[in-house]
Amino acid sequence: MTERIGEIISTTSLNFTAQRLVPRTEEEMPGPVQPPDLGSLVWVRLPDGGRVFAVVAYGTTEGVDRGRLAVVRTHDDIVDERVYHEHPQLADVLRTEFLAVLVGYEDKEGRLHRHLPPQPPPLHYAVYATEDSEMRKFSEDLRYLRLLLNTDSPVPGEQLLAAHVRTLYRAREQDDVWLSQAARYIANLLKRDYDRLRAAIEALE
Amino acid sequence: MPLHVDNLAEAIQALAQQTAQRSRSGHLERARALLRALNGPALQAKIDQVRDRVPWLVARPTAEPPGATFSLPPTPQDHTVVATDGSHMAPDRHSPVRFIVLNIGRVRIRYGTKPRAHLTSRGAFWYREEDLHVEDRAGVQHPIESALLGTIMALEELEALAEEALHADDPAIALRDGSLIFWHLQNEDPNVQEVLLPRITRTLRRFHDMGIPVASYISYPGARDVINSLRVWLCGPCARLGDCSQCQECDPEDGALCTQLRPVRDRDLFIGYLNPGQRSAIFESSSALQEKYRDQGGMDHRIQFFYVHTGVEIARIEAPRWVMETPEYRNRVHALVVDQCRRGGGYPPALQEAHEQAVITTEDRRIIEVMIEQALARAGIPYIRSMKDRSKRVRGI
Repeated sequence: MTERIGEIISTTSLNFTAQRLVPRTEEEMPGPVQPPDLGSLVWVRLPDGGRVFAVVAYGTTEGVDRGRLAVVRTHDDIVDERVYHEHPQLADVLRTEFLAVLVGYEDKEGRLHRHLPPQPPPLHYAVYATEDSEMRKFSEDLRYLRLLLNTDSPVPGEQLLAAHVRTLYRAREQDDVWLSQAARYIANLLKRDYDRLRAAIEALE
Repeated sequence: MPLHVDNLAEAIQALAQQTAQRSRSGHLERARALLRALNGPALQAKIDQVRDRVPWLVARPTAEPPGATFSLPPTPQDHTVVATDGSHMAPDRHSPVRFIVLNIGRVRIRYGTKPRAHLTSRGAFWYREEDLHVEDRAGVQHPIESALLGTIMALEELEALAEEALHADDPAIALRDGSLIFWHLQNEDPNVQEVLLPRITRTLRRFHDMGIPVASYISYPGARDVINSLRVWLCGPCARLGDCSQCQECDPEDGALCTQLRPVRDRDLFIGYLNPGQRSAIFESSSALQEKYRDQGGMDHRIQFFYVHTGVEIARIEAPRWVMETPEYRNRVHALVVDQCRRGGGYPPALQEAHEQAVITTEDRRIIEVMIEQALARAGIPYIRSMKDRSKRVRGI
């Protein structure tokens, strides 16, 4: 059972924005709500039974009311998560969102397609984290990496690419053979832009 | 058309001069010294003497010496603050339909080892005749508008506060923004007072029975009760209590101070008098309406108040006498109000969030009007507003 991490609050043919959902128990101390890792793979169910896959490309935390700005709350030893303990209302007045770029879909017959899905995922549908096994399967074919190069995200394409490849590398348990394949693929994608290519390779560590 | 400010500039300059002059005259220091030395029973005697001749409000002393100050009591680490605030869309004279939209923000924040906040709002749409009027004992319908609307709103907020307080973990306080004295009710038809006062006292009684002190918080208060008491002390027997500089009966220095204190407000007096965290003595308001603050069981809920230095400004805290006369309750209110201001950088976050929950934005108002227009259209009724209203929207040239 994969973890539900958000709900779509804005959706387009290229990407969707979701609000981060964290289950709140009475026992837990309040704290900051963080978006999913940059470059991680997420999925959303489709009404016809299929699923779309997307790569997390951006995350923000702001006031639910855009007119309200954060004020300094650090004071003496009230620092970091203690700020959230001292001001329990923050959980209700802040909103964490993330942008995910569509990179493929699984049709209702269970076949994987690594290009833009015919339909965006519907508004208000739940977003799930992808398990490592599914990430390994999805990344067997890297043709979809191209879709991460020029997105609506403020994160530069080469940084997003590198973040995603790092995530996959970890899910593939440091598969170096795969990593050199991925690096070659990226080199090909960015062959006309040496600076961006350099940036991507450096970010791959 | 733009406002022409040129002719205002001179008057604005004069205002600045006047303010500067007042701040230099030293009368505040003398007033503070007077307060420090005041004897409660003696002050009460003078107030009683002039009771019929003084048209304005004075602060009546209680068991605490009027000049006393009280340090911040210990703050319970685990505690809950409950607050409500309301917003409304008033019936519009230019609209063909009459309705009131009410939105009450409700906040419950628990602090300490298990911090947790509950922020909600609840709206209501009143359109039936009985909701838009207060019916008195004789069956007369009083339309809910202007001042009466404000009073009804405050009552709804207080009742919502009592509902929210039911869920609060002990120790808790219930806070509202604005006075608990329901001033506007004083000027209402006595038949209306007769209907609304029981609602007020019944609700105050609920807090008492729940064991939760209810208080109101007034930021930067404009009240003059205590100053007026000082003026009564200075010029008591003299019927004038107006421009005492011409008075032959009063001591000229007392008369001069009395006159200088005329524009002064209690907050000006206490800002140099209280240290951060301290509160003043408790006083009782002399508002005539207070006499009627008795619930059906006979319990007295008359409102008393103190001033507190929140750390940033002077605030006025009002509460029923059963709160002020119970040390545990008054100390809790004192401590938690100061704690709230510390957390909120000068204003209680519980009140701020209640206000935010209550706000009806311009967009919300437009949506409601559109919904009404569409519903009326479906019922075959055109939504026609007045021509005056149209002239303001279209502004044709």
